[in-house]
Amino acid sequence: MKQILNKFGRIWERAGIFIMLAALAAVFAAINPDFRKANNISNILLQCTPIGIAAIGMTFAIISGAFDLSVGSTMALTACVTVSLIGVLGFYGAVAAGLVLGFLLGLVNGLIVTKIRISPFIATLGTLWVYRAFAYIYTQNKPVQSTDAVFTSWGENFVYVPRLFIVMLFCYLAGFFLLYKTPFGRYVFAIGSNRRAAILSGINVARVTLFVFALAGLFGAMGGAALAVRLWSAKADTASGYELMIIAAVVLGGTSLKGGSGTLAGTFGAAILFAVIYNAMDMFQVQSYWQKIALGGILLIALSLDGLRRKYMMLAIEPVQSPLKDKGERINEK
Amino acid sequence: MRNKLALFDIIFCIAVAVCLVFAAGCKKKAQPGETKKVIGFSVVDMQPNFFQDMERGVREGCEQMGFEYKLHDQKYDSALLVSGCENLLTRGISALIVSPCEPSAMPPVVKKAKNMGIPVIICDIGSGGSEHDAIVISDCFGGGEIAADYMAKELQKRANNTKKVGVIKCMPGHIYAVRRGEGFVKKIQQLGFQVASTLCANDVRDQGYRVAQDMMTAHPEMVGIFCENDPMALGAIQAVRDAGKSPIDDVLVVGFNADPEAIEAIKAGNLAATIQQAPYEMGKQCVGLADKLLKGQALTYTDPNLREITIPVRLITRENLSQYFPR
Amino acid sequence: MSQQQFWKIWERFGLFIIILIGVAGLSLSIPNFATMTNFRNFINQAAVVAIAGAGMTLAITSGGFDLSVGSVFALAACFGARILIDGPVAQSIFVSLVVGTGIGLLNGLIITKLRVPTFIATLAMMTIVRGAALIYTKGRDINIITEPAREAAYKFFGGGYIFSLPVPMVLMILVFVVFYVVLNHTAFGRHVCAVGSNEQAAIYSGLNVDRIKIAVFAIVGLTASIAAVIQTSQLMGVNSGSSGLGFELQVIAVVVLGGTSLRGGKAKLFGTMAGAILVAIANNGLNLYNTPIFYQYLVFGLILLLAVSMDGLKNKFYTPAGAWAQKI
Repeated sequence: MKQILNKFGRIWERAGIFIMLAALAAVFAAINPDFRKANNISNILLQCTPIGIAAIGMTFAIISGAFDLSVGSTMALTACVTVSLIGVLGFYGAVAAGLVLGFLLGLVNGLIVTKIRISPFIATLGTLWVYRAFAYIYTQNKPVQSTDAVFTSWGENFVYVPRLFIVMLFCYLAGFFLLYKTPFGRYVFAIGSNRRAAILSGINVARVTLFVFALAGLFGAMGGAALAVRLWSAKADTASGYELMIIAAVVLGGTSLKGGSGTLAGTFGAAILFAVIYNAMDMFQVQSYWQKIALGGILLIALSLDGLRRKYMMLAIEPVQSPLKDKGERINEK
Repeated sequence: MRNKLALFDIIFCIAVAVCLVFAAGCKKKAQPGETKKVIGFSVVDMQPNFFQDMERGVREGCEQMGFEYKLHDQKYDSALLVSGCENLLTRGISALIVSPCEPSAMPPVVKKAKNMGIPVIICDIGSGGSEHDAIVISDCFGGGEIAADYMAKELQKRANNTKKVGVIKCMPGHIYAVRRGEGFVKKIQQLGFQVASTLCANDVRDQGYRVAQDMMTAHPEMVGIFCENDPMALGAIQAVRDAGKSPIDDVLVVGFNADPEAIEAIKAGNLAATIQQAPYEMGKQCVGLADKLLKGQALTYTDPNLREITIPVRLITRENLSQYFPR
Repeated sequence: MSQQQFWKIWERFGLFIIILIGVAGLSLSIPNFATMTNFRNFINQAAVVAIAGAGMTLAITSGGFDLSVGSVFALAACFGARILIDGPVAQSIFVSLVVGTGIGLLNGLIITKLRVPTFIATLAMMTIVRGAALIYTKGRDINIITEPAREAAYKFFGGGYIFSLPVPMVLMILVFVVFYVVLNHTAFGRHVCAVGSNEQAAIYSGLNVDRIKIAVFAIVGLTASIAAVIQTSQLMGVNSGSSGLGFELQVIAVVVLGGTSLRGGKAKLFGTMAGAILVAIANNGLNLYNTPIFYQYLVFGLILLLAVSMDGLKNKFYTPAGAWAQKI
């Protein structure tokens, strides 16, 4: 019995968020027939894409010990630029332009953090306002719309699965590869756990940090493009307040805000979980003001369980037998 | 120990799910056998009075006409607008009424609804160029013009009319409010006045207060302030009073929306005037239109090309207050 | 002047220098800037943010921060406003303060006892408390219309004068002096700094870190509610849904501008006050110039970035403690 529980505990640690997701989804599906409809499920998968994609870059950032508060503004600015260029460059050209812009915006963030030595929290707080201002000035506060056929077709389904969701899967695969299979990914973890040690180990921390911010901007731009496809338009005040939600999704997924540990799979699960919760609140006609309380409550419950678990885990682990103990005794004898 | 907690976690999230269901304030399930048609209504944000009144109009209209009613709150987020409408559409509604926080995001929603054969009626704000079935729209631009006429007329009576006014705007993203300001500015300039200062107060009272203070500091000779909504006007009134001036005799303050607080302020002699829209009636009218469409009847439009039905707005002042607000 | 000397002066007086330059520039270019009325206007605005900033400085010094101050502000204002309509001024203010402190306490408990990370705990409380405020007022605004005597007494806090100085300014100075004394001359203040510099060391030194954190968050709630009372008295009304929106980022920005390090352990209280004054002056100046809102956003971001870059560059080029503190 103990082995089963043990194994279960290990599974929970790695896939807890998915178990929570499955349990909640199962309960909702059982209670409400509308929830089970194939249309609804594909809606949920579609609705989680903008935040889900942008959260990939944020995961990288948080694992490396940084923050990107400007991601919402980046999403808005790149979405506006992308939609406005569809007529000129065609859909794919416009998306590419948007991605390049996102990369550059992230790079600027990185430069401010590494060259001018400002804390990421403040640097991105500043760029949050600056980029949003750029979005307003660029669009002169008018919405940009496009009915380009290729553009709108990306909002459709491909055999019941939304195309955007497939794009999201590919983005996550790319993220997985970068994070777990390349030296860059390992450096990101290293910088997050112990910056000093990483520097002393010879990692070019400045360059890695720069790239991390650029990635955050890149995935933010991808998320912005997804958002534009959902809305068939973009406006300067789109994606307001998204940065806090994205960070919440990353943390809910299991990445620690202190940096050094994190899971991309967790972020994926958390993004879908948010979409499920919003969908369920609509399905159950939860009153608008109570929705805020419900959302906050779920965040608190999920993370307090996590926190309590870690607290008890620390108490439950037996003290490690020091391999140096014998040596110490010998030294004392001398 | 740790594994017991893992089990604990699972039990808790099921508990969370159940809590969510109860927090929903359990709607009564429809009796089996009743096949009421359902109307879905997606509203900009349930916080401002204007939309609360609109929601009440739709809700009571549905009750009166025998429809079942489902509500969705966009909380001013265009992505939630799209996802909320999508959710409503998958729940078997017969007609969709939308008050969009961002009209330019309507085309995908309307396309989806059309594919499912569900009529879409837009209630105020704008259509974003989509292929809606009808739009009931309040004449905000005209309302601004009415306010300009009123202000000019009142100020002409004064001896110290410097012909300088200020405009306090809503958040730049709220286009319905932007139209109010545009209408006002165009008309007041035509009438020979100068708009000395245009500042944004983000729809809220406290910024209306501060912005009005700064406006009066920069232009002490200002004689009128037009605010694109009532909360900002109420803040502006406080600022005028704190500066030792009267919001009626010295600096004429005009709001927009006819919120209950603004009506009280007009009664108390603090606010000069406000512009009343008819959100409740608009909401009800949309339900009526939905009913007609579902029965296959034709609609009469004010402007058939845009499939638009315009609702006039009305100036409310101390003089005509008792006529429209007998309480 | 050598580079070292420049940075030393900057560290102590940088923000005040920027304020002086700003005030001078604005006085010269805008005729009505340097008037008592305008001064009262922007100092009252600064006071609201500064008082909440004092509490936030304490929180950041202890190693945390509080994203829920905006919603706490709104809830305290709603309760106070509702009670003022029928009840005495003292009761209204008392209830506002209790509500603010209570929610702060709740924040502290959630963070220490339930071990929820500070970011998520305060973010969650931000949405929960906002929902509570909307439910309490049923989504409608509260307009304070009450007996003239009560109204005058309540308005004293937001618009009155003591010794011909605006009351909010006096309250702000009072609050900061109290905080200064507590931080620098009491054991509690030292403990807060200890917890912020190195929590583990503080635990091993025998400090009851949980209790200190709970106290800190309660104080943050208290200062937010004081700020709420001042603003509500200025406006004589509350928007339950939009009051205090974005306030938390403003407050944190002001603390950061003031020079308090986000890493914790060191507090620059009067820097926070200076930061709040700077932001209020910038706001005021932009409005007097009739700047369109988009450019105001731009200016804010740039001010924040520039002010903090000076700090960052200072760290790069100048280390106060000598060779052993060389940062890589």
